[in-house]
Amino acid sequence: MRYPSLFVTLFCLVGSQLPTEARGQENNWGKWGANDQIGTLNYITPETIRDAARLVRQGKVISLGVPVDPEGPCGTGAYGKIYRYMISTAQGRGQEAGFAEDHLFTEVHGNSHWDGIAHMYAHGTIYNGYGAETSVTWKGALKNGIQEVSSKVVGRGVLVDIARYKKVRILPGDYLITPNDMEGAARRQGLVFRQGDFILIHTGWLLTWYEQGKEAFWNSESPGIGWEVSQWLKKVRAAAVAMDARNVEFMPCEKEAARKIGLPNWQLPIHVELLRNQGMMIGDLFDLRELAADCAHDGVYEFMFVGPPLNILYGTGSPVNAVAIK
Amino acid sequence: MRSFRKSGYSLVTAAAAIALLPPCLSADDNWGKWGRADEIGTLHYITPDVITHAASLARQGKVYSLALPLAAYQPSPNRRVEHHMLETGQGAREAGRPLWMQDWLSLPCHGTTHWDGLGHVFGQGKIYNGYDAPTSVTAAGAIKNGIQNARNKVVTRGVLIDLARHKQLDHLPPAYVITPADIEETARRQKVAFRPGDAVLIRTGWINTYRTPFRKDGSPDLFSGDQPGIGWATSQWLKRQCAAAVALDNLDGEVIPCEREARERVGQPTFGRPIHYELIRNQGMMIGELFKLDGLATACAKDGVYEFLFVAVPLNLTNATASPLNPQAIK
Repeated sequence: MRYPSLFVTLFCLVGSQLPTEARGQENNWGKWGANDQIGTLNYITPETIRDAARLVRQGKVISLGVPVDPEGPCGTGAYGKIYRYMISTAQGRGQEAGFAEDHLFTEVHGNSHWDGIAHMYAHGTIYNGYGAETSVTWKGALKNGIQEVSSKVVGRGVLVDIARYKKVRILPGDYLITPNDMEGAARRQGLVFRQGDFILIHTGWLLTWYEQGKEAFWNSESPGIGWEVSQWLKKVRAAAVAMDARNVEFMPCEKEAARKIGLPNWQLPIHVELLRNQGMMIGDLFDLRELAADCAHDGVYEFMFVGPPLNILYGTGSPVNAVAIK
Repeated sequence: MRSFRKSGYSLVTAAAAIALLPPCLSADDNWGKWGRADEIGTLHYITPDVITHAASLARQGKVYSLALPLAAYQPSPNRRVEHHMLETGQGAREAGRPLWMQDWLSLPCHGTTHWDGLGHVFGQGKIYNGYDAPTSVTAAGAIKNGIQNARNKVVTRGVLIDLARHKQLDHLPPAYVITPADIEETARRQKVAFRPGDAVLIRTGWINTYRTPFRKDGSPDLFSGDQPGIGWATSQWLKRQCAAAVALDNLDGEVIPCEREARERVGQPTFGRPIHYELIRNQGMMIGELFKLDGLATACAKDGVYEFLFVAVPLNLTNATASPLNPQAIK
């Protein structure tokens, strides 16, 4: 219902040089108070959690985390790498009793992970208007840290299978997902969105890693959402969004989206819009293969979703093994 | 050794176990109980019925995280957790473009709230289910019984046994052996009964003794010294209850120093962690350590409900012996 006014506001802002923090109506800053640090996870209430638990009918659990493994799927550059090594093993220990132990060294945005809402700044600020310089220091994200949501990522999950809707296994690399896709797929699946949903979008893109190799996966193109779906997520009051590609964002980016956020040369405008402006966490590189197959099989696209981050004090993100419980 | 260990059982239990198991299998351990290829042990007790029942316990829609803050605590004296910022907001006002923040974790998998997985303990050349230890737990990790096998398994009913509260103590004393009688009395007082497939969470209050990673002279603090924990009798009680897993709010879960009897029972007279040996290697039961139970305990004491939906899946860590966790209790 506030949608028309939103568009009017947007229209007025195109071409204007107003810093984003001045655009009161667009972002969610202040919506949950000046001290809020969890953004759209505020849409989750005790009621949404109880309702989500009622979706557990079969007693089936599906893991949505890709293997945390140096072999991937994971980042390829300096960022996103994973190192694991054994501190002690059973080798050469004969009959004696002992412990095997391992050590993990990983970038928190390495494989299946949440981007916390402190992950991105623009115009000198992070979500809810906190100053980036004073809020994200060498100690970490003193505001909007991932530990703020350590018990908040429980609710109803819905799978929107765009690949299946488009009758392909893998969406093409240049495919921009639209609100019509989201609603068309949902209609086909018999799904109605509710406030506080964790919306998981299946593109099939993860298959490129396994079938065509990491170069194909890390192609300069990647299917994803653009400006319109970012606004649609706001309209349906999603709690968070996650996808099975390197990130949820259509790449290379829409120029228009970059202009809308007032940063015409920035390559990840949807990250700025969702994380910084709306305060919505983004789940990257989720493994939705088994879930998509299961939902297609039983026709049930809603489930209880539990995907808490690790309780990393002042973290900007976290590796996660979210589960869908049906 | 096996006949010796068996002597701890009642005649009835022993007879029943022998009657149910093929003669090639020990009545003591769970090896082979779920097939020769099994890698998840007692998590098999979590059936679809257990999961749907557990979900029905989420009545209030309240969620409690049972994880210690990562990097803020250094609970394990020889396992330092580091959280490094690579990119921060410094210079954000000058920069003409937005930037992302980036951080790294250097994480000993046993150095914070975690599950000890079934590849963690070896002895007599074997790990759980009889896999050969030297070829199964190598530099490549726990090739058998790796923690990733539990990535979609730890969703069940959780039961909190608030022993510290029951004993009206801030924390149990050092070296206190938690007995089955302790657990059953507390459960009775809390009006909660056990079911197969439960995750049994035992609050000792010991986490409250945590002050600092090291004393100034480098010696271990009270927290990392002698500890309250479960002993031999409770390890067998957990087996009789068909518990899926057990977790405590201290470093080791088992009593330190260990009971001499327990060492002898497992046939490892010089090994200091016989309950780890018994639960992980022999029974195939994960042990949760360094769980933060105080917030949940306060809520349970308030509403009198000590059962809840418990979701504590590990990270999908290939071939790992443990995983850092953020367990969730949902009431």
